[in-house]
Amino acid sequence: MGILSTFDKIVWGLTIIVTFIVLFIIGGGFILSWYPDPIDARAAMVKQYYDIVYVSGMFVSALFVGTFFYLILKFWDRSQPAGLE
Amino acid sequence: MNTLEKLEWATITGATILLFGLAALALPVLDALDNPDYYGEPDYIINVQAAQWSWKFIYPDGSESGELKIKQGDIVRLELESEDVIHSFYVREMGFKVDIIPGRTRIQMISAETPGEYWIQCAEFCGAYHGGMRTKLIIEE
Repeated sequence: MGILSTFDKIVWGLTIIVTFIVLFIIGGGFILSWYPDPIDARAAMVKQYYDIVYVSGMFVSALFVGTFFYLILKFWDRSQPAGLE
Repeated sequence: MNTLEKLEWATITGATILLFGLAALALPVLDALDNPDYYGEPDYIINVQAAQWSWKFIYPDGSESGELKIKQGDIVRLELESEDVIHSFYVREMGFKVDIIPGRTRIQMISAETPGEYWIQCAEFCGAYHGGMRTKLIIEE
């Protein structure tokens, strides 16, 4: 066995997959949230509102996911065997 | 309080301030969008008749057209009516949709600053040729 244990490999593998999926979703969101140039002031406000909602949604989602992983890492007792070694 | 705890509190405070900032940006927009007097008094009224599967626009002088023509900067009050089923008046570049319900007159104020031709598309499924129920909004200089 190399430097990484089986458990480490699984964690790294999942991290890469999850990161790819998150980037894929964010990229898709940017493409789907395309909106044509507004032709009056009211339409410009509507577009601005859509942008704010999109950014807020992304931010809140990131906050949830980030908090989840942060809490797992913070309280994860790595001195205990995971059963996968 | 150790460094980690300080970082945690800084993150929580920063996130809260950022969210309040986004809400502060969004609320005035919502307020303006809900305001029926946003454009003020209309310059003229155009009656819009929606039917399977066409649009008809009746101008103040009584003339009729299959396309909606307005002048740049004019404030127009649209009175939208349906002759049969529910339709929806949708101009993507104006950022709104209005459902047109049979038996009711819907009011929508519009104004445009950029001359050009834009699509008016029915945005409520209204039958076999719903996809073809579209016409032009022409903004003249």
